[in-house]
Amino acid sequence: MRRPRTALDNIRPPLTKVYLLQSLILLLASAIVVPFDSVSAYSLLIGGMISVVSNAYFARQVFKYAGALRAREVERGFYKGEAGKFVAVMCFFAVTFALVKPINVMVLFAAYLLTTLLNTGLLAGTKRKS
Amino acid sequence: MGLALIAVALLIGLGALGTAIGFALLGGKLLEGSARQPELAPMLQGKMFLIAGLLDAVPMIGVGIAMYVLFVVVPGLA
Repeated sequence: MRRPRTALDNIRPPLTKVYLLQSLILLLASAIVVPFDSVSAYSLLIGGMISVVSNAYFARQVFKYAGALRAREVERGFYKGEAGKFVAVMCFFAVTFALVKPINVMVLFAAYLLTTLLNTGLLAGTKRKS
Repeated sequence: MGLALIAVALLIGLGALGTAIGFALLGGKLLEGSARQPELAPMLQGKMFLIAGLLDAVPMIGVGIAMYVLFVVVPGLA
């Protein structure tokens, strides 16, 4: 049975779809790179997934509440989400550099940055469509 | 080794400071906008979410570089 639509559903972009699509794109890109350089392939996947997971946590915190009456909670959600994202990214990079060897650092950072930009682009695109 | 530690502290500290200032400004404007025009609050929330994603992209790369210095360039530090 489908859940009835709420006011929150009207403003929330299709976050699950966007993050699944991003993960799929990362997997495909990584699969394409594997035959040429396996280190770059898993560096690409790790860098992208750091961005996807941390952004998904941030989005979850931001869209817990909506509306002018809940503006305080919305703002608190932004602060909490950002703090959590900052710590999560720090931990993910630390664990990656401590445990994954060898790693292509340039590909890792490039994948992180491109996935973050892709995230914003996809979300802006879905908002414009609706 | 000492200089590397200072570099890591500056990268993480200034990154956090920059993000905090940006988010404080954004959060303040969101509350102000929601109070002025409550009917626009959901739209403002969506727009703020988009901008927030871009706002912290560069500081996060800084944090990543700090972790790289800490765990790869000077591994004895961590």
